[in-house]
Amino acid sequence: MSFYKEHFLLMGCAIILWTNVYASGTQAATKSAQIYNFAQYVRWSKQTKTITFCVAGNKTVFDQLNTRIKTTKAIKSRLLTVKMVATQSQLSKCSVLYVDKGNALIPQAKKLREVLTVSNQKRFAKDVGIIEFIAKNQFCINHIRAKNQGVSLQGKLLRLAKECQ
Amino acid sequence: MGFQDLSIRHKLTTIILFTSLFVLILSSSAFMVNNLWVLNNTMEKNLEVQANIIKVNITPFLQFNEAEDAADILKGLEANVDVVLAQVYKENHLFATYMRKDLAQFGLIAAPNDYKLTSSRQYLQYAQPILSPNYEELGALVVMLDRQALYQRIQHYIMISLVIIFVSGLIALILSAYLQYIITRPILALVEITRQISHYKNYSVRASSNSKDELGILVSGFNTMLSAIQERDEQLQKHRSELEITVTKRTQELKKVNQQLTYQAYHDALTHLPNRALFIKRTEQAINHAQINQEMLAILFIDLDRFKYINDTLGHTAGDYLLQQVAKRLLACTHAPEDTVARLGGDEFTLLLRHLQSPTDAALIANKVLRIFAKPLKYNEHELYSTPSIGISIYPKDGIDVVALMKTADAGMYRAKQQGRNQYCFYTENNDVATVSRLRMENKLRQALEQNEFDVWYQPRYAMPSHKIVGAEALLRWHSPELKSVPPSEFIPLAEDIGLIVPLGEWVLRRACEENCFWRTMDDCPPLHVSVNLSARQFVQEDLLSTIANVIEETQMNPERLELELTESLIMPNAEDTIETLRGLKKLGIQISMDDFGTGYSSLSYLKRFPIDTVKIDQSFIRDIHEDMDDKALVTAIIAMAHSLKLGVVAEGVETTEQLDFLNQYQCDYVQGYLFGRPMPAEQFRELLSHSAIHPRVEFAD
Repeated sequence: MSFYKEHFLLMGCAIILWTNVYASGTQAATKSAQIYNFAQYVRWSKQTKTITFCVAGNKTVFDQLNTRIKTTKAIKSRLLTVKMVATQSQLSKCSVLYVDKGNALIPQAKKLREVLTVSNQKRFAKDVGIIEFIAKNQFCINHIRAKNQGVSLQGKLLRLAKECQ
Repeated sequence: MGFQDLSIRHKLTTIILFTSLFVLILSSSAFMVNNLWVLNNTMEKNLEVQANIIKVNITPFLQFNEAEDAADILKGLEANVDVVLAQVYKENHLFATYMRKDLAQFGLIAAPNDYKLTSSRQYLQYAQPILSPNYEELGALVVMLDRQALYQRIQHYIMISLVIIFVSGLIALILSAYLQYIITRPILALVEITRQISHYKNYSVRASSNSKDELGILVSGFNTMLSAIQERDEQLQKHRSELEITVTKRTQELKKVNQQLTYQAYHDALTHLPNRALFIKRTEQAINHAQINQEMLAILFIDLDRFKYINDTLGHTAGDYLLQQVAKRLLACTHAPEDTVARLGGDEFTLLLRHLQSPTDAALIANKVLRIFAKPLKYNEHELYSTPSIGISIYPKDGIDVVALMKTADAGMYRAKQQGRNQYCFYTENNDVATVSRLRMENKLRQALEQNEFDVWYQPRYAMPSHKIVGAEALLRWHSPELKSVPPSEFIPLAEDIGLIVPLGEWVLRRACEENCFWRTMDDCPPLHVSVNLSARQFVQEDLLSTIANVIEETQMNPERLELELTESLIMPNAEDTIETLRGLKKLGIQISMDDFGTGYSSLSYLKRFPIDTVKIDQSFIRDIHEDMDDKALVTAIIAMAHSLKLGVVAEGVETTEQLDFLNQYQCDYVQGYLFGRPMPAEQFRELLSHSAIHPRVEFAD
């Protein structure tokens, strides 16, 4: 009887673990897709020849983005690159920065210019960044900060965004 | 009833109406088609534009999977009631949709990814891909329009067009009616005037028109034509009046002429006596009357003896005078008006005697006629004697109709002539034989010349005392196939009576001349004369000289070799005219001899005056020259007298050597007779001439 209990528990744990892993992967895919879509609704300056997606704290998102840019190599004639960042010095070349929840680079987002900052950290848009994932497929945008940091967003994106809390 | 049969006003109305309707229908159709084409294009463009707007607006929602927002965008199409369906597909799955509320279920007419404009009878579908800002295909947008609006618009246009066409047609009808009224009013006025003119024949009427257009010109031309017709009508009336006057005048003249002609048709112009036609008519009436009343009638057929002789010798004037006087005398012998005296023609008269008691009454009248004719008629210095030969036929004994009575009276007249003339004879049945015989010969004689039954024979004439042949006398012979040889003494007087002697005499003259010309061509033939007898009737022909001259010219006859023989009875009565004719003949170079000298008046003084070359002593004196001392004395006197007048002498009928010796003794110049040769055919005479050339002196026949 305990054998079946153990196995059941093990199997249950395995299912939970798989479910968490799967859910984590799915969320990462969604996030990477949306991050990529956000980049399409930014009015990039003419000097920007390459759009660099920087990912901090989430390897899965990095991988998803990396996979996508292998098929989609450019946005509006601008080449795409993806890299993992961990330090402040690595942020200077970023065009789009995704900082995963709890990452130490979150406060740095407030200092950056002409970088579209995105995070799933609560109050990120309100406190330091521009776009914040607030639920599945939903996001909010701090349009004032975006303007202040030199990031020009298209109205279509703004119409999709929810109000930041 | 075809278009051609319509009046001008209906034609005009029809033409204008149909033209207007045709133009309206054509223009309306063109306008409608154009509008529908524009409408359809606009609908398609609008669909494209709306789809593009939707596509642009819906792209972020599709990109960020905001299906509800995308549906809200599609719902904005409600404002366009024509949009029945709008759908957004993402990765071949329906992402958002909009369907008009009144539709429960609806399907596409083409696949969502069939990116083009597709149309069915009722719907129009437009599909377009939805692209991300980076031109990645996110999905597809499909919008469908209901074309019902287009059809409603078409119906609307058709209704409007029909109304316009109907209203325009109505206006065109009213306008065309007014137009045809303007155009046809003057024409109808002209028609009315034409009708009035043709009905009342009043050509003074004129049409009025103030317009200067074609109708004005037509009215002006019509009036000009009326003026011409009026003028011509007036002239026609004038001419008609003149014609009526002329016709009346001519009718009167014709009536008068007709009366004259009627009178002439029934009366003899010379004597004014009834002619044959009127005589027959009256005789028929008399016969009818006599038949009813059992009366006796008589017809006296009168022929004047010696009339032809008087007419031929003294001329037509004397003859006409004689006939007029005879008419008067006959009228004096009868009882007018019941008896009728008529002139049938020539010297033939008839008397119709009515109410006779017996044939003796007719004999009394005949005697009266004979007595009254015994008195001579004075004509200039001449005393004309003309006795009648009268034949009498009695109705009903000798005939019961006009023809029979005339025929029997005629037969009686011939009997009277045969019996010595100057007498009357009642018709007896024996008369018919003589009359028929005479008529038969007359008919044959008329045909004989045409049928070449006549021949010319020649009796030689010899010179004395040499007995050499010097010529021949041409003598006419008639060999009738039916009557055989007819003696000249029978047919020549008949030929003179019926006038055939003129052409017959000319024929003899021509033949004689031709024969004489032939003689000239014969070897060793001496120059010969040919003598031809000329009848009294020929001698008085006005064209005698020209006829003879023509014959001489045509036959190449030497006129000096031609001798014409005239009887002294022919030339004596009208001596002055005779001398003129004889001088004319002499001018032609012709020899003239006096035939039968001694038998007639024998006025010796005439012999001196007449240009005669030869006298021919009648054979009756020669025949008894040895037995009758008077004849001997007469012959010697004639020869002596002729010689003293330097005329030649020919003795006819020399038959014996004694006669020849006598004539030779008294130096007669020429002889002819059976002693030397009988009359013979031309061929025989030619043989005689040939023989004479070898033996110049004649051998007397036994």
